[in-house]
Amino acid sequence: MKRNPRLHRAVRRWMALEASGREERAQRALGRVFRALPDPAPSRELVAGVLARLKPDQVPLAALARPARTRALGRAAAAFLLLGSALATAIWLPALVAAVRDQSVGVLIVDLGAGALSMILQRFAAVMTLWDVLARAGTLAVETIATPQLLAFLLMSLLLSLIAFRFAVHTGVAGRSPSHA
Amino acid sequence: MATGDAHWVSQALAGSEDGYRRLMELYQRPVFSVIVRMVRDAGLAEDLTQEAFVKAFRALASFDRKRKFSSWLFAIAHNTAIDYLRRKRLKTVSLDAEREDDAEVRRLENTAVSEQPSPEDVLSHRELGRTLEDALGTLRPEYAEVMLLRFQQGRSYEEIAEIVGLPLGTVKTHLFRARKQLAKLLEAKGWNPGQAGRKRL
Repeated sequence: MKRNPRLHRAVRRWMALEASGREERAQRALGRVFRALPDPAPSRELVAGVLARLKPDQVPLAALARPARTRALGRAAAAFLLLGSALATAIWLPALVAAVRDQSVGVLIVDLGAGALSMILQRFAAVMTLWDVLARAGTLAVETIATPQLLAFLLMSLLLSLIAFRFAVHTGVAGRSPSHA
Repeated sequence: MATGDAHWVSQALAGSEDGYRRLMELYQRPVFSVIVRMVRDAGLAEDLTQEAFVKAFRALASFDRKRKFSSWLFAIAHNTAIDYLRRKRLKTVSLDAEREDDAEVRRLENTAVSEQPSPEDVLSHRELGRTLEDALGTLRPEYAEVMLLRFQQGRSYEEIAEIVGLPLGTVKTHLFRARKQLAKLLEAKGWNPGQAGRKRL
């Protein structure tokens, strides 16, 4: 190992500062000592060794990669299905509609379907109307209640009611004869 | 997390060997550098560094990306080295009490005095770097570790606390004691602070 003048200077300076009790500067000087120390390096086989130890159980190289691969395959399959469905619809739907239109059973099916769809939509509209009324009532109630004075009044009333209720219960229990108590 | 680290962590998580390789190339030296000074055996340090990387990569999926990758990796390396030292209870190391450190310092001081070597004698025959490494190796591994993380790796106190899993105050105390002990040890080996400014090696 060769003599390292930088390290010698750094150590001399640090020791002098330590002796003089200048803590902050001594700390900084020690930093320079450490930076001047030779930095040991591992052998070149370390990286290969780690990779070799990871590979036999295939963790995580394959295991962690699997979800990514699965996701990619899933996306590809979904895209393929979508495209296939669109193509099949484009090719077969006109012929299917024409065939159904020409037959009485087909007409019946179409009528029933249309009727069912119409009924569902009417019910949905009714529900939505009721929902709208409820939502408006709720909003109005919140707007009315959400004033500090009214809220305070409501809370006070609730508190007084509770006290009165407890008092009434207590009085009722105390007023009973020992045989009923 | 540093942008470069984040990229390579993503690559590794996607199954790219290159991601793992780059992360190792970035951190094998700092991690090895700390471990080797804790265990004082290059071959053993290499095994422990390897083990730390294997553990880290196996747990990479659970790594919280809001954290700094290097701090997370150093924490794993710290646990790996400390676990080993606790298992093997290295003869040169005491994990128990402060008193033993002080006793060690006194023993070295007495040795230095009893053999009566002049600083020139001592240091003309021993390379300063080796002397420092020896002194560092005499410290408790926890002390050596915080010193290396702070002064060599340039980590903040908060990062060190996160890595070694100790309160910030304890880290600062460790650093202070480690510094003072290292100075005492060097003094025992021939470095007289009073003469340090004038000494010629």
